[in-house]
Amino acid sequence: MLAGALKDGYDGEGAGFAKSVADDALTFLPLGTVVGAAGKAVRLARGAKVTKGAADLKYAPRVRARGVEDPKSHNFPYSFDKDILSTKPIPKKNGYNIYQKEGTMTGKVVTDPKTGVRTQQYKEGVFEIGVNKDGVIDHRFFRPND
Amino acid sequence: MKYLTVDGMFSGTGIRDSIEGGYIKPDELGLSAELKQRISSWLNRYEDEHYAQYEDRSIVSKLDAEGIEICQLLKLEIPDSKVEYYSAAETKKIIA
Repeated sequence: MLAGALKDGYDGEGAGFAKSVADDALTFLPLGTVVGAAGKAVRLARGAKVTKGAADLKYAPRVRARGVEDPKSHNFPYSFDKDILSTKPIPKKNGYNIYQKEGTMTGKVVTDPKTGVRTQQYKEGVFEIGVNKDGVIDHRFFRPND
Repeated sequence: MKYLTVDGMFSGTGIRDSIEGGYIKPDELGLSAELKQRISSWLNRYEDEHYAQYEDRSIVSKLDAEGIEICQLLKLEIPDSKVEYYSAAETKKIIA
């Protein structure tokens, strides 16, 4: 998952959000379908619409920095963002708003010691986006359920 | 040996797994009630500063200094560990 995540949007060579958004749109199918391409399989809750791109959204530089530092918690397809942002905001201090949407992220690949069969595990959780008072996204996070 | 990163990102637990990524609950590390409370209080104050967009640099400096202190306390409670500090405000590692 980590390698795929890094490959798909955080290559560290200046690939812009537009490219990663386009990649996401090509990689992920709507309505909860899990796609394993590029080793990155995540999905929003059933019924969620995956939009074709989020190029018109504004992101703070810290979003990218966070995605590179800890992709496991902070990197998921940008094509999810509009759908997450369509949820009811949770207001915080200073005009800050948080948006949350249930979904699934890839977990560990577990190998059966007897058969050697490898199984991909998944984690249920919440995709979370934070938007500051100026409308800039400065927080993207996947919060796994307990 | 545990490899940990103290990180004040508000949706996290305050402690990341430096190798596997993701956040670790303080309970899973068997931390003392005192240190868990300290981390929780620090995270709450860090969260407020995130909402304020880290505009007050003096508060950010104090929060990061406290985060580095938490690193030292973690090392004391988990001797077999290597602990780093990541400033959520500065989005960079700081030598603890």
